[in-house]
Amino acid sequence: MILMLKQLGNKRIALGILIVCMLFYPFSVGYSSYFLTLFVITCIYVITSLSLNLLVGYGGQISVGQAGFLSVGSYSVAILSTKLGLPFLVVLPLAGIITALIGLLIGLPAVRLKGHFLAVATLGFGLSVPQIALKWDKLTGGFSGLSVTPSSLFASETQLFYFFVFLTVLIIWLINNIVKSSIGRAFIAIRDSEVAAQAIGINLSFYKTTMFVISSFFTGIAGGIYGYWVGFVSPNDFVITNSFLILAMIVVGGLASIPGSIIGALLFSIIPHFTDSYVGITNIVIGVAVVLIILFKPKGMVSMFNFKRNKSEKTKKNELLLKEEGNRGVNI
Amino acid sequence: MIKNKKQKFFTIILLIISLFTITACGNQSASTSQQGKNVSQGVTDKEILIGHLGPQTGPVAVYDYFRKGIDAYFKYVNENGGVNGRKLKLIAYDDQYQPSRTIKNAKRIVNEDKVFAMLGDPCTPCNSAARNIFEKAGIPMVMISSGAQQFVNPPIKNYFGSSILNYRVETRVFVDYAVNQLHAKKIGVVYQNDDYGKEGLTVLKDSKNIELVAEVPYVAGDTDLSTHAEHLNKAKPDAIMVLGGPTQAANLKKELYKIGMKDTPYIVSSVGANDRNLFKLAGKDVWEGTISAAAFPMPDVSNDPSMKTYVEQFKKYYPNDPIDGFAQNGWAIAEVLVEALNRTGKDLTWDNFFKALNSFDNWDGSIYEGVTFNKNNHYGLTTMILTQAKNGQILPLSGRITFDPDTTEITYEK
Repeated sequence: MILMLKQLGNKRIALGILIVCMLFYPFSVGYSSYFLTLFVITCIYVITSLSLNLLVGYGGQISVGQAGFLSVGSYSVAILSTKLGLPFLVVLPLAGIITALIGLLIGLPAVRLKGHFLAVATLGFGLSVPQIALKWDKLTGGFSGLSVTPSSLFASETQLFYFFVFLTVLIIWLINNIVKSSIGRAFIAIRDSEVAAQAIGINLSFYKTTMFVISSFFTGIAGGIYGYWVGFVSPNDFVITNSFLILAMIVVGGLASIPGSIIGALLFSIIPHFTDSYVGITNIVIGVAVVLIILFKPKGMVSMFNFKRNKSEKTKKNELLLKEEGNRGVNI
Repeated sequence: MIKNKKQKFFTIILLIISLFTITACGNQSASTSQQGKNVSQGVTDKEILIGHLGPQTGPVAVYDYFRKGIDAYFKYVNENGGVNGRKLKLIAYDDQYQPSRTIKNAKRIVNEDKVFAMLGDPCTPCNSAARNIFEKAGIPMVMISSGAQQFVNPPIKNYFGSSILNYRVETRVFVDYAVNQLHAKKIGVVYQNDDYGKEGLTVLKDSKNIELVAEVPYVAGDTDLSTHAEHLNKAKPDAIMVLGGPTQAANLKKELYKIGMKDTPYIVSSVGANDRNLFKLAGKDVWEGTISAAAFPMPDVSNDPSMKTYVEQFKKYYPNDPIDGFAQNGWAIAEVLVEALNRTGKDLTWDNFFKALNSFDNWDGSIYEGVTFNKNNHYGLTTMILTQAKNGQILPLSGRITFDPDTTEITYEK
């Protein structure tokens, strides 16, 4: 077992296992509609927690309203597909774009807000989206919700499943690349020190809004996946408790870590499967898990797997050099 | 760390083996209860599986009393030998009033647990979200806990009735009573601005024999209704109707009392009035005289033997929970389900079960005053009584009132 865990430390193997598992998943559960749904919901949370990690873990911008973006995404899909009759391949990206526009609106004031204030602002957003969906009857159907016209592109649930799994893998890859690009490095610089980042020529307001736009775009797509998979959206789908749950996912999984967000999302989507049949313990189990992991593994579950093990000697040397330089800096 | 290709290969082999193991496990659980007998899924010689999805935790966990009521009745039936020798087993999952969770668990309960029927699921949006799944599966949906029109009219083959009074039927009876008994023409209505309040409002708007002089909405969660009272005062209605929750009904009546509107008849939807706690919430004098409807009389004034068993047994299984409230409905719908199972007999298939349900003609063996189903009527609860608050009790004001969905005629039993 320990050997297996150690081997999971190798990124390529871990990724390979993940992809093979995904491909074989429908067979292994006998095409059960429930297990497929469980998997797709997990995928939705994987995408959402990755996008939130981009904001919180990499960018240092606290957001407690991620479920609001999910709602916007799912409602976009419902409205565009049902009321305007647009096709699947147009609707899903549009859901992301609409959510990104909303993210831009949230991101603009966020440029001036920091820490607690930003948290409260995004909390307000997360709380208000379900309320707006309730009140804006004509567009959203109010309390009764809206149904989503299913796509004619996919003949069966399994095909749709594979498409969404592919999309999830694609988004993981995209976010992985964003983090490694100059944008990602700018985010990290902003997180570590805004003054220092500005000093080396990073445009704070531009990158902060970009962060919100990218994060909300992917979350919007996740919301769209939800809409298409479930076929029905309502104001109670993604409420503020979901926002907290997503935040807990990345904290438990590991901040500023892509495998961390995936592990966190997996864990919190699978816990209810085992606890739902016992009366009222789901939230207790999740709460206990959060407390235990923060107590014993403050860097998140990802620190158990030690993903940095297979770094080449070169990067290790560079890191050492950097450390020495840093120490010198402190001494002076 | 992986050093060579051999280890990599080994890992992949290990992986594939484990995958096949999972597959094997998955297939095993898929095939149970196929004993060649003429029964539908969820039925064995010893057991009948019944499902229930509802919030057990979260802000509206009060709806869990439906489950507690059902559970108490199932235990009671099982202690007395079960149904045709089969014990009842309740499978319930927590959906926290969130359709996204309901959807997941709906598929689980139909495809994995393979229950025979679903009983009394609360939460209107959750029910709308899951309707597609349940309708496709064709699984019997017995007495869901939503009074919304879409589940009963037009009738759906596998949806039977609601555990609480249908919002529209109830309001129709109110209008009839206000016009014919109270001789009221001008009605002022205060309603909760959601599907619950609006269903009743539709009926009021469509009624040609009354004049709506005030339509005042409030948002679920509002507690201050002083401006609503002022609106009503200006409109001077002959009767006031409240389509809302208990807190709002109590607070509004307090405000009306303050500004001197003491004598206008005050009619409150059953959801907001069937609780003796309201005398404390509003004040004893204030709540006095409030008119409402109910599918059954309150436990303290009921002569129904069913209600007496309920009070005894529910106290036994859930000694710390109140007997008023939704647990009664849970118990009552479980009675309806068991009666239908008994009528179906040994060959427990879905079609036979539907036939048995359709034979309910004002059946009064449960706590409910009467339960009716037939091909065109899937309302279930079309028989009710009117109630009035008097001296700290909620007393029956009328005999049985029956609404006929075909002719929309309302008949009063003397």
